[in-house]
This record gives sequence, structure tokens and C-alpha cells, in this order.
Amino acid sequence: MAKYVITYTDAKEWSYILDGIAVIVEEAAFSLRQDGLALRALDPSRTAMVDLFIPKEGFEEYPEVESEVKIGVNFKDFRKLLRRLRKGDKISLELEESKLRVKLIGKSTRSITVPLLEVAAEELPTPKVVYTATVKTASDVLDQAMKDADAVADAVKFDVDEEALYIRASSDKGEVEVKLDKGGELVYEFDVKEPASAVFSLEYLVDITSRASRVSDIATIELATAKPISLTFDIPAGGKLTYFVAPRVE
Amino acid sequence: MAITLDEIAEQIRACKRCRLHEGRKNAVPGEGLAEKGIMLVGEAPGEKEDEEGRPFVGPAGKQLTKALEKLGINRAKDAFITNVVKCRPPGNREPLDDEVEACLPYLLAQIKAVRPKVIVALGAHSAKALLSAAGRRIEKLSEARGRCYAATIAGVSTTICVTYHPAATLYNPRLRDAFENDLAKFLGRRDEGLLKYL
Repeated sequence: MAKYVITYTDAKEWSYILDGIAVIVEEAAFSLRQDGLALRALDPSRTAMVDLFIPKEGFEEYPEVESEVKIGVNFKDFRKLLRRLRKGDKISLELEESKLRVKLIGKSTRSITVPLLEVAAEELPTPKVVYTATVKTASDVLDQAMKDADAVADAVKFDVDEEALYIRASSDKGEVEVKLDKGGELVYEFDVKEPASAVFSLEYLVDITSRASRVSDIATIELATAKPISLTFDIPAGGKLTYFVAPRVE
Repeated sequence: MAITLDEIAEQIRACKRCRLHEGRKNAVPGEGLAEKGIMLVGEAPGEKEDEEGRPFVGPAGKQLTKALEKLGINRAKDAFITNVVKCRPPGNREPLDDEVEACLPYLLAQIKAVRPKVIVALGAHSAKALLSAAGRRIEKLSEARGRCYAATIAGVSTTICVTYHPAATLYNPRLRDAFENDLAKFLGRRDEGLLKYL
């Protein structure tokens, strides 16, 4: 097997991306493709999907690959390796034979070798949904809204019309409403072709927004009535971390 | 050809691999058609199960059956229900490690015969035995409860999900809610979730 080396400039940011994946799956395989690094995985209860793509230009070093190479990773274990990273460290992944060498490169270089996991390769398409509403906002705003909703309920309703996006939750503990107006200061894009309304369990959304808002300042929310929500977070180095969460059937 | 569930049941009824055969009235191999590809695995038979030779027929079994019915799951038709240990430990004590070890080949053979899409481990003993057979170690139930793991066990690619044993939820409404929510998460969305959009 050839040796492949990938270097990502910001190890901290890399660890946040891993956290974002670990919300959905404990183990999955990265695909080292000619155009960049990809990972798509479904959570075991088949409710949520994570879809990551970082183009090769997003890396400081990216190998030439003739055909797709899989890198099976346990995210919990990988995250433990990164506990000792320091601000300003780079991270390099060296894949050779069935081993993965993780190098944290800063004032000194620390190197840890871990076995690669055999992860069953599941070729997954992304959900086929025709979205009728797109709202781009600060990821912090979305994260706060999910936390507020989580304080009172276990599900959250997204309602969007031509004027605003409403994020609502209610139970006997209280009610929460967050309104994002079209043209509002923290609304960067507002494109509603048709009003949409859908309810989602907060089980995944709270963790997704809390982890992904550390990777990215901007979140794109896509909605269609009673269809899965799509949340896309732009990765600063280039690329996207996207989640799909199935609606709760009422 | 793989051995059938009936053949495995016959072997279990004749089994003398560990001391538990001495005190049993009936061995409890397990039952169900598993038409929805669901397998539920408890710890060991209790008094009522020992008397009838059927799994989960006591109060904990009623709790389990009720929780499954809430999700539209018929235990006899949609699932296969069994235990890690097929004979009742005396005085309802916990099964010992050597008893689990002696009995585990039967469970693995049943998994091979049923080829379940999802296996629900009910309680710590079941979770430890199943996850360990799939190459994963846990110390406590709390490490795994509420979670699912993609796994290959007895050569079958499946998902192992972990929750409380229904007996633990009998007198604790908080655990009962968590137990029912776990089952809904593991089993209630097999035809829903994202799959229908893919």
C-alpha cells in the first residue's frame, strides 16, 4: 500500500470537525478522493446524517490518489489523541499499510500511531428533498435558539414564511420563540419560495449546533414542509460540514 | 447449511454444559418469528420463565411486551426474544461468568439463524456479552445505554442497541420512560427517519 500524507493547518479546527462528526457516529470512514476528503455517515437510529467535504485545496498537503482510499476512524479514540494539542499546532495524518500515524506539529512534533478500523463501507446518497426555504444566519444564533428550545422541550418547530423564520418550542415548562426577520442584522440570506414548517427532535440538533458553531460562524438552514432539515456549516479552510435530521412525525 | 432455531432449541433443552441445568424445570431457548428483523436479548430466565419454558412471561416480560406494542411491534411475530443464559440461576441470582461463557455459543448460533437487523441488549449482562462478542468492552451499562453500535457478530452485520432490563424499570417511572424512549429510538423508526428520503 502506498503512503498517503494529509496535513491540515489548524489542528484545533480539525478537532472541532471531528467533534462535529462524533455527534452522529462513533465510527466511520473518511474517503480520500482525488478532489478532497469526504465522509458521509448515518447515525445508528437512522435519524440524522453527517456529510463532510473538504476540497484538497483546503489542506496544506494532500496526496495524489488514483482511486478512493478509506480511512476508518473511531472518533472517540481519535478525539482523545487530540486532547494534548496546542494552539497553533498543525495536524498531519500519515496512512501506511493498516496504520494511521497522527502527528501534531508545533514547537515539537508529537506522533501517535493507531490501527486503522475496518468500517463497513455503506455508500449513502444524500436525502432527496426539494427545499423551499433557505436562511443563512450566524451559527451562534442558531445554537442559542436550540439551547433555549432545549430548556423547555424535547422538540423544536421551524416555521418560515416570506417575512421571517420562527423557531419555537413549548411544553408545560414554558414557551420559547426565536424570530429571525428577513433583512435582520444576523440574517445573511433569506430565500423563501414557499413557506415551510417542520418539527424536529432536539436530541441531535442541540449537539450539532453546539459542536458545529465552533467550526463555522455561518449556518445555512434549508427547510421544506415535514421534510428533513439541512444545516450546512462552512469550514474556514474551504469545504462544508452538512447535517440532515429527519422530521418528527406528529 | 446453518442450524435452525428449532435445532438450537433442542440442543438447549438437552444442555448440561454448566451447573444451571441441575436446578432448572425448563430451559428457555427463546421464541418469535423475527419478521421485522428484531432480536431482544435479556439476562436469564426468572421463576415464571423457568416454569413455562418461555422467555419474558413474568412481570418484566409484561412491561417489555407493553412497550413493544406501543411501537406497533408484536413480540411473537416481529421479534425473536431470548436471554444470554437459557436456564434460571437459583434464587434469581445473576449468572456467573462461566455460565455466560458456556451458554454464549447458543446465543451466537441463534443470531446466525435469525440474522437480525437490530439486536436490543436488555440490561448490563446482555450488553456486556453481546458487545464483547462484537469486540467491544464496556464496564458499566451507563457507558452504552441509549446507544447503538454497528457490529459484526457471529458473522452477521447488524446493529446492537443497549437499554435497561425491563425488570429494572418496574418500580421506577423515570427508568421506564427512558426504557420506552430507548426502544422507540431503536425500533420505532425503522421505516421512518432519513431512510425514506435516500
